[in-house]
Amino acid sequence: MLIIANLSKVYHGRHGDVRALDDISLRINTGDFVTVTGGSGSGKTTLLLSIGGLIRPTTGTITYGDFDLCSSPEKDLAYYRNKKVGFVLQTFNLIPYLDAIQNVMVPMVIQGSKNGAMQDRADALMRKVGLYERRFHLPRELSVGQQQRVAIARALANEPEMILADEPTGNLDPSLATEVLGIFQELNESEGKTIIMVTHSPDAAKFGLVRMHLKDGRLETFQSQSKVARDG
Amino acid sequence: MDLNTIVWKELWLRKSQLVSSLLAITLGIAVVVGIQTVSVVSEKAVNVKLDNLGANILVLPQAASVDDYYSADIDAPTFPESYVERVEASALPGVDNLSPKLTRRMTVNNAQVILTGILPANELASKPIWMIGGLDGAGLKLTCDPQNTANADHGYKDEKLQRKAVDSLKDDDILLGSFVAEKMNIKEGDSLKVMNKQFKVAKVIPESGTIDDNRIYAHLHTVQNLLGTGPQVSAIEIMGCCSAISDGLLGKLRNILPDTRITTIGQIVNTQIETNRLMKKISLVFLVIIVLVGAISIGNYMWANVEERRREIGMLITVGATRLVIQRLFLTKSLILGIAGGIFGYIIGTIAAMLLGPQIAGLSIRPIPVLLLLSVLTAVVICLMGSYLPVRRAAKLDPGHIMQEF
Repeated sequence: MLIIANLSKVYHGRHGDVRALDDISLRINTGDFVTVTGGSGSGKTTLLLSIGGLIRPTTGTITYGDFDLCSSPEKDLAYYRNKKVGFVLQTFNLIPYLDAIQNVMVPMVIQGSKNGAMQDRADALMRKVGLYERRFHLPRELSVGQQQRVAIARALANEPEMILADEPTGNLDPSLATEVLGIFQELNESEGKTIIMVTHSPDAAKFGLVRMHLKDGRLETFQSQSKVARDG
Repeated sequence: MDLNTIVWKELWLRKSQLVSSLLAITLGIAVVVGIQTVSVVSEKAVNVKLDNLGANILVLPQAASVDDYYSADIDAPTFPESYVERVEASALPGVDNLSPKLTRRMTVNNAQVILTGILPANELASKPIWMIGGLDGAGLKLTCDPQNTANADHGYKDEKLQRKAVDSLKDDDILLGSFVAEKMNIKEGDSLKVMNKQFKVAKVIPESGTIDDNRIYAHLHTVQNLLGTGPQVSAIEIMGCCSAISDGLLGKLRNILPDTRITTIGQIVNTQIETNRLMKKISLVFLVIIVLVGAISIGNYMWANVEERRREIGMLITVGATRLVIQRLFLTKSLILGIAGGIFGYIIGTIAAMLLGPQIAGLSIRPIPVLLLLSVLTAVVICLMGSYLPVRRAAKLDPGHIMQEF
């Protein structure tokens, strides 16, 4: 279970402070499919990156199981990102000089996996996302939809419990977007992965069983059809 | 696949950037290697030539001048012969041969001559020009080069053995300078009376065009007895290796013989020492410039590389890379650049020296293998120095900030 309590994040800039998140509290159960919507600057990406251990909040706490993200040392946060979480981003962020299957192996390389096991796992993931035949293609030799599927395979490399997706369909046409959302849905339903997806798209947001909307860093609306309970 | 695969693949992808930065470090190292190769070979060649010229260090009594030595007046001061043993016992590196002398100007058969007492083998060894004349025991050819085959041929591989060369000049034998022989009309095998002692002329020494043509040489101990000086000498001529002289041999000799004057014979040695020092200084200046330019060039390249790979660094941190992993990626790349730059720089510098050396310095240049190690070390240090700030920056990038940028 992911517990967020009184989470605030203030960025200190040259033109003054910006409160990106303002006193957010919620619980996300393992296996939930959560979608987060909101306008530009509403704080949804900051919330996602905080949950991913990439941003340390100004105040408040984030706890995943027994692991406290806010007070843990950098080394433990790196382990958390490597083992517990998989990221899927709008811009895919594939390494351009590695072929598709090597991109999928990167988290396993960082984990220190053995070559044989790494190869088997990467092959399986490429089959899972339907790109086994193109595993030796460089990212630039793949379509955007295929690149996003490689990014999803990479996110699954170390069998994380939670997928954090930031606008994963933002660069895709509607049919490809539906395809990618279908993959998330399947991961959630058949493998029990917790999915937290930030999106602008109302259609994409409908895939979530829990939907929340942020405005000016505050949790404005919250709809739960199943497993998430809002604190307070 | 491992982290090194990522480094190699990235290097391969950005070949053009790699080539330009590699070229900078390679050319820098090549220049230093080229200069160093030519100067080391040149220094050795000149040292051998200077050593072959003969004695180049003169030990004189404290109160004497070089003029006193050559004028050989009766009043010229002397010092004990035991100083020779003192120098020998010190086993100073670079002292190839010692030649003690006692000289006195006198009249023999109405001719003004300089009677010179010598220890023959040493004297002969320090006068290579006499070797051409075919004197007994004069086959010794000394140079500072331990590989010198002439030394080996004569069984003088051992430096100490070399100093204890057998005295081949008998008590009643004398050697005549060409001018003295001509003036007195004396040939080899003739007899000559000097200070009431009858001598046999063992050899007439070919003309050298120096004051030596006016000398009569006899065994040192015989001359000491004739002059009644006891075990005293006027000077010790030393054949010192040029490189040893530049490394402070004179100072070391002064420490051993504090109550003497020690000087080099001829400006040629000093000039060579100055030239060698100049070459070393130029080489050092080039090295410093190369290090600075190379480090700046590599630093610039690595900084641009870090900026270009911000998104990639952010992604790597996102999937669990620690700052140590990020540092390792960039330092490995820097290390590869250093090793490659050092090897290519050594090869290019050596080839350039081999091609240009014969034309510029008239020398046959051979590669100096130890420079390969120094080149690689220097290039690696330059690359690591240049990469320090960029690598530090890469490791300190805020992944949250980067991910929000994209």
